[in-house]
Amino acid sequence: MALAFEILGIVLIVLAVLFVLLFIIYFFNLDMKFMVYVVAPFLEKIYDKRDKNQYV
Amino acid sequence: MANKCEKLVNEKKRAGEQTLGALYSEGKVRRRREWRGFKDTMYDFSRWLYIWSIMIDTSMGKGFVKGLFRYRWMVNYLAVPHMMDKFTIGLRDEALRMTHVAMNYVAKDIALTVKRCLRGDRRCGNDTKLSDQTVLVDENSMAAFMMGFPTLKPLQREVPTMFAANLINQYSAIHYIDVAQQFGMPGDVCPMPETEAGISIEDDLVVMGRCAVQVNTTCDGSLMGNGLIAKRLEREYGIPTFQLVAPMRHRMEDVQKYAAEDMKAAIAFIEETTGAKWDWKAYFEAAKRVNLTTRNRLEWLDINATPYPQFVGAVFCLYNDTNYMGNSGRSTVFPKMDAKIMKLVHQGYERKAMMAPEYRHRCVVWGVQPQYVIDMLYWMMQCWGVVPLTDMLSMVIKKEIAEEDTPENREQAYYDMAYLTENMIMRNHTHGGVETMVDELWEACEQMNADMVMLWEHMACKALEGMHGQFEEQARKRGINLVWVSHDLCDPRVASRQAIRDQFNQYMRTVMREEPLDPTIEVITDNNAW
Repeated sequence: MALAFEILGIVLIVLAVLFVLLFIIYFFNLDMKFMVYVVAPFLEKIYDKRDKNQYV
Repeated sequence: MANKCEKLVNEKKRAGEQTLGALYSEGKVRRRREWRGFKDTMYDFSRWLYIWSIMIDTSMGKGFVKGLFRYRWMVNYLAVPHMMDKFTIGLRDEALRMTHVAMNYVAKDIALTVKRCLRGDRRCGNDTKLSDQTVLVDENSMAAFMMGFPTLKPLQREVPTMFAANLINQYSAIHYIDVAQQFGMPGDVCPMPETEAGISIEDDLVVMGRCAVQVNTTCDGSLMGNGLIAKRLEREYGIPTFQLVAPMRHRMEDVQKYAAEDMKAAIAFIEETTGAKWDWKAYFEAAKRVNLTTRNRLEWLDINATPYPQFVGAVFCLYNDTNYMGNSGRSTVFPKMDAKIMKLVHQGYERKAMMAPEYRHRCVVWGVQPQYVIDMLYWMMQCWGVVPLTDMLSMVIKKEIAEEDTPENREQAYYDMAYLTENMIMRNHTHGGVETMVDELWEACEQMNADMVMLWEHMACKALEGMHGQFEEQARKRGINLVWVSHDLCDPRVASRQAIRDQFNQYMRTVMREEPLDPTIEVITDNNAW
């Protein structure tokens, strides 16, 4: 029984930490900041380098 | 019709932040998200998680990784949560919820289209079975001619590439506009079809499908772009393309027979190229859902005509566009979404819910609109207390189509599909003569009890520009406050977001002699934003 409570406690703590982390990411718009400053510039470099088959 | 509107003050104080200027930065994204009070912030947070779950699910699809690195337009999809923030500024309670219900489903629908595009694309997922079931449908067309083909999948490949990408990121089109112009296309056509042509020139449209159907909508730019796209489809990729030529003077009786015959020809072309057979049972089931959509839209408009409008803004328009035009009754999920939205609309109306601290003016939005790209309609409400009751693109059909399977109705069905195509969003007002563009605006003002019109003046749209004088003259005669707002649709280099808002600000200060409700958003530093 004590073990079950211990596991439940750990699960609740993990969920609470996850909630707080996700909420911080959400509220301070960290997801979009990461995309705009890290992911988008990286992808744009790849698009610029790609060979293009331009044709009319 | 009077040019004075009775001011309506919201007796319920908005939970959370009272002013919104602090959210904006000079960068591409906002400083932080809005505090809407505990309950609504938690709701918005849960929807944010849902949007991310849709994005993660899309990224698991076949061909996604290849597509992400292959197609420039894919980068825009990183900003979907940002788009949701644009469409929910200042919203609380039912308005926040109905915006999320509608827009989350639109996002899901677009995610499904992206998934299908990358899965079936010859360069990425190369799923030949899916590709063989696919009929490419022009972005600017009703999917009405697909209502009786339940085993086939209509795919508007320009939607994720151009239209939806531009909802998410205002700069999504400029690379392709530049490509089109480098190849000699004029810069004074609508940048929307010009972008589509640029995407085709750059070979950035997915390649899949058994056949394609293009429609002669909505303008000279659209026709020019379609020609280029069809050439590449047919000659380079061997995908046969049918040109559905809907009449321009679509209100005239003598063109309807021709339109119905053309619809028959389109269906015969699809049957011939795909081997699928037209299914009348599926058609009439879809027709019932089209009629349900019409009834629901008219009921929302009725409620918006009261002092307490509920379902408004760019999302009202976008949801109707997706449901009416892209879906055309094929999906069984949209009626469920409609029911959810309807419940929230009634709930909000019954408790007289308002979306801003004050409603000072009741506005009909007309003309070729860029409001998807910017959060203009929500901004008008929060900054100046001007409620956007409806817009030109949401004022589509009012009559219901035949929905019972009888021999007479089978013949009528071709006329109905032609009617839907002729009255596709945008096309039904920009073509068909002065009565469709000018006269119907005043009817809409009467119907919605509006005292103000915001007229989007798309500087590259020839259909609208010729009528500038008539709008001005008639608005003056009717005592309607008419605000002209110029823009260049999806090219923010020509008219920036603040340049667009400034035109409205100037009108409100100099003509209406009013002060903003929220002065912190009169000037917003979001010209560089996604």
